[in-house]
Amino acid sequence: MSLRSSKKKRGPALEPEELNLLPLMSLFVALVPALLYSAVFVPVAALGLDFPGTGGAATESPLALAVRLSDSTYAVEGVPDSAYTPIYRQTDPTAPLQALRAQLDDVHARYPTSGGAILVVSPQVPYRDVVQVMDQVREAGFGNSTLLGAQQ
Amino acid sequence: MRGFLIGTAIRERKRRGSEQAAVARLQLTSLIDIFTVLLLFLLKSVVVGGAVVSPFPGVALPPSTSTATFKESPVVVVTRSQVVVDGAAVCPTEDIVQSGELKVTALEQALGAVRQKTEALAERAGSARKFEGKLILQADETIPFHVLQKVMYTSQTVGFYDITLAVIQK
Repeated sequence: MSLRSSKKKRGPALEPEELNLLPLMSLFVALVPALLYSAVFVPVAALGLDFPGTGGAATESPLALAVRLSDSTYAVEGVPDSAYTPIYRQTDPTAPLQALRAQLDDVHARYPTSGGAILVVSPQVPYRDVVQVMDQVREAGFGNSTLLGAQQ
Repeated sequence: MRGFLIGTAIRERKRRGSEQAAVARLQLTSLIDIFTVLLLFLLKSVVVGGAVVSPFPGVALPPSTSTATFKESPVVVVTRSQVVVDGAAVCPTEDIVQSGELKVTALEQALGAVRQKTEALAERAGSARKFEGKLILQADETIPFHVLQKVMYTSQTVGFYDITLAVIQK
């Protein structure tokens, strides 16, 4: 009797149902190559610049601000009624760039509506140093720089 | 009788075996875990909007604080040894270093061909993709400015007035 009752209680074996992950897998297999195609592992950014005669902020600005970048100095020029002392470049560019930034901030504080600066670059100055100065000009609020080659 | 029993046992074993094969499933959970981590990593590095520009092998781009994105344009690469236009070597960089002229003839011809190709494509596709004079310049950070000046001047003579410099984000 007791055996019969125990048999009645025992129903079909309940097994945990497994999720069907195949559609999710298909989605991932499609997504991963698409993302791999548009992923950038080295972040490359764009740096805009202007050229003389092609318009740009420096051409339209009332202030003819120029930053002269020679092998040995940075010099801020073209600001009326003021002469900024040239900054001597060093092996470690941090301090000279900070000094240049202070001068550019001062110019921007006096002429807040001016935009753009002309970078007059000596022929042998490395490209890295040009970009560093362009960064300082942009961060000081002058926008894009206009590149100009200095006479040798 | 004995043979019948053995035959039945074999058939039963075969039946069970076939049933097991029918219900066997791949364990995808661990693979899903891997894909989820990979997906999150890729989502973090994906570029939304603008063209994807990868540094040319062997070129150390200068670092910058700029965060602007690119528009789809031809790419001119100036390495320490070669000048490359859209993946094809044009001339040695040393030739430009030694040259006293602002215009680089080999580069002018290569960029002229790029412009013609773009204009031909624009003609076929209607006004949707016209030549806009945009150019991306990737140059090694050690390249002297006079080399870049010659490259940029030559690009402008061909009609590429809108030059964007490629830099590494700080």
